[in-house]
Amino acid sequence: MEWYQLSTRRSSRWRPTPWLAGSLLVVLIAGALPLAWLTIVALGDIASSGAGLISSRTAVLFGNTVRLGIVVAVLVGVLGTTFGVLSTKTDLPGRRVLLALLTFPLFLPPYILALGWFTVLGRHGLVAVVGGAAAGLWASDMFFGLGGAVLVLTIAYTPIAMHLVRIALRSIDPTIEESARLRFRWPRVLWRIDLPLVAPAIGLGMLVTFILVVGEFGVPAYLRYPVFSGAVFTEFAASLNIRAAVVVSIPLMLLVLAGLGAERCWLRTPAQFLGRVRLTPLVAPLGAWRLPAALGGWAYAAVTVVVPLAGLEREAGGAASYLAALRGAASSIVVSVWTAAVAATIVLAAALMVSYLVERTGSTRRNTLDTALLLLFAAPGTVLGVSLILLWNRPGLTGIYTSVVILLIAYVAHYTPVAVRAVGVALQSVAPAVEQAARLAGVPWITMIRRILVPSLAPALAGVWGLTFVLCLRDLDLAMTVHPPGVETLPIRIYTLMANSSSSVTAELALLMVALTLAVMLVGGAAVAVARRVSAWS
Amino acid sequence: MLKRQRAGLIGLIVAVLAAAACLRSSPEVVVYTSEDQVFSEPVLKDFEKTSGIMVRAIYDTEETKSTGVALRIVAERDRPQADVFWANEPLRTVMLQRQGLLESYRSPSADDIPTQYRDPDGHWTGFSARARVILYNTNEVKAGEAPSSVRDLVDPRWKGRAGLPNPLFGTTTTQVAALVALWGEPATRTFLDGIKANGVKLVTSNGEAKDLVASGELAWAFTDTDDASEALEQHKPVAVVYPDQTGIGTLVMPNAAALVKGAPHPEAARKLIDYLLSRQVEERLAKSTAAQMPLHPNVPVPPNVRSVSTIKDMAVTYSTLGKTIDEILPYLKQWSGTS
Repeated sequence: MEWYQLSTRRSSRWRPTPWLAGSLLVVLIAGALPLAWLTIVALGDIASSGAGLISSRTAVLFGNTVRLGIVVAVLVGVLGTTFGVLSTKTDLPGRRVLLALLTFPLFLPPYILALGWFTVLGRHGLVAVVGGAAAGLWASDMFFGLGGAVLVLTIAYTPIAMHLVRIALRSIDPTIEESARLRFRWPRVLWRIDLPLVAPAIGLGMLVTFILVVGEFGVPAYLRYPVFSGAVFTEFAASLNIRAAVVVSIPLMLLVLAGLGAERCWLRTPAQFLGRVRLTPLVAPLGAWRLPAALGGWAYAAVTVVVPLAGLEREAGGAASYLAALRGAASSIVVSVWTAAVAATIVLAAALMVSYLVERTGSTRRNTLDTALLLLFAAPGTVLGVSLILLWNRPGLTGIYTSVVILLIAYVAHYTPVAVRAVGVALQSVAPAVEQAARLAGVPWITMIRRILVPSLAPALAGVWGLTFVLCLRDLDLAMTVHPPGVETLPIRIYTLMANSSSSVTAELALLMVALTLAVMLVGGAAVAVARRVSAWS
Repeated sequence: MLKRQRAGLIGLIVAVLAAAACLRSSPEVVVYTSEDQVFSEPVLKDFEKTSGIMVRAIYDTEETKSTGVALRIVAERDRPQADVFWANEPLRTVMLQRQGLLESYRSPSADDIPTQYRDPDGHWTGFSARARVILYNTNEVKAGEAPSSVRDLVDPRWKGRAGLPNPLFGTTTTQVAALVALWGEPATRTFLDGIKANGVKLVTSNGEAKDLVASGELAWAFTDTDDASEALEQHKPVAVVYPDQTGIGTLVMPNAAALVKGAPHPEAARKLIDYLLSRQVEERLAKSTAAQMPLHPNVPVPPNVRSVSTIKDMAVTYSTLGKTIDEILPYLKQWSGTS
């Protein structure tokens, strides 16, 4: 249907409420309802469970958690912004390959990255081989503690901030930069125009990182840096006490609220400007800085990505061994890919609607919704998983609980909030005036979404789908808690095999996971590129 | 056209659900197991072949320190989905029993398993045991100077060089609970404080303890025989000591099979438990890398597997350890720095 034909529709067909309410309901039923119910049940035990929280040791754990969260979030913000800008807005040589390389750490659970780094920084690791025993001892002392935790988690989460910054940069209208270029040189345009516009994305990247870091247990525990999430895990694993674990996780949620408040104060200024007329972003020539920037970027990639991957490759066996690992994990790979793909699609659809609701509503309602959604993401995976078990494992619903559908529900509950924020960042670049024009022209609301918003946001939506797909694919805590008997995702298989399986098998499975994620992302990227060309051609 | 497509889609969904229902109609048993997947999966596959009963399993991960499936049984208490809990040590089984989540079942396969490895009321039965051993790096420690007792953890000779998996998780919990049962709580607390003062490295799991010893990061650490056996099989520079053979003895920890209360498939569950407790399974687990020690008498074992009868084992009663651990858990949380 052509644009002029749309204008003949009546404005009474502008009915967003059922779509928006329906999508919000899906997210709330999937996650908020079970969590709220479990929290209410657990609060009944707050007197006994919460008493243990008041101690000097708790203060130390809390302080450690805050320190780790802030340091990693800041580093991720700086590195993610740097690489996001370099890979999107400059003529850095080999930037696409560099981008793909820098994304690798996201494909692996952080614990496996930590194991990879141990082969380098352990007492008898690569550093000791090259620099001698004293160097190995020094590296090991630095690695086991705050330094190692910061190193591993920064490398693990930098890709999230980098891609969010990329999504935001690609949503900027090039004509704004062109106007600024009439008066200013590129560095100033980047500093004064682009960075303020992508500040919400940087803030989101730092916030998501902060949430993930304060909830992380595996890496700090491995590196012997005591953090608060250990207290939650202990209640689950040592005491088998669900209510106590929920109560103990409340301070973590308060910490997330503090992080959210900070982000809202400093970095979440909505930046609305005219709708884009072109999709291709402008590129800033690096000039004399091209070589140093390339050397810096590639050196970072070599150290942070190639080294641990090489460590895993060194552990892995030959081709026959890979084939054996692949055969054993075939069903896990299939389950992982299709559940992550379906979940990412549902999440994207829900996120588009809910982010519209968040971004196009009054500030009070917007802040309330935003906070509720991010708390959903901040809930530890095991807590959310247990709440889903309690909700769905009941007469009439067992068919859902004992099938793979529960995995989809869990992914939608946990990852929609991040997608909502990411889509929201892109949505801010589309002026409401465009939608108003469509409304005045009598275009039905859902048609406006389909024919105006989706094409405008296409690159961002593709990026958010990819990010969600990867997050679902590598999820462990949540999937481990709810997956039905006889159904294993690849991370679950890797982790269940880690105990007493040969280290080569786990290294092979980890590398297979990297390859699998990369393959799906490449196929997805190619599909998007083809669709874009077909669309342009038609 | 659109209606036809919708009808087709609905038809497809119904067909898939029907197919799934048909698949589920064959006899099946659901087992939650904390025994390492690399060892338990082949045993369950064999049961499937011999019995014709489909096994749907949930395995535990290293990350959840072998307590994830126990937690899931707790979370599902109102409507159990698991039929059988196959634990890699008895303590979590006892904790579930104390919460009223297990059903009594005395398997005929377990008649000649020694009584100290069975719950007197039949809520769980032990089989294929592991021992709690010292694993040391032969490049870092000479054989004649190797530690030989749990008390070496507080020996200044090893200051900052020894390791112990976190006693809040896994088999180290059982080890500490056993020490409390033998020494009493005050003496065990003094011992644990000594461990901390001696700079013993607290690691997250037995597997990690094994890796850190094998790489020379730690001179020695406590771990289980299956982890030690794996390191030996990979020709790592390590050796094993069964500690306290002239003192309190070595802790011997059997696997435990238990019937979940309210199990959806109780008959199939009993068949699986009978199978797990059979001599055949014990022989298989003895011959695997797990190198687990059979509890049935006269089960043939390879040379690298010690017979339980040749080990002086700790005199502990597993059925009482659940209460012991409940009492010491608050102190352990504080000691290990998680509260």
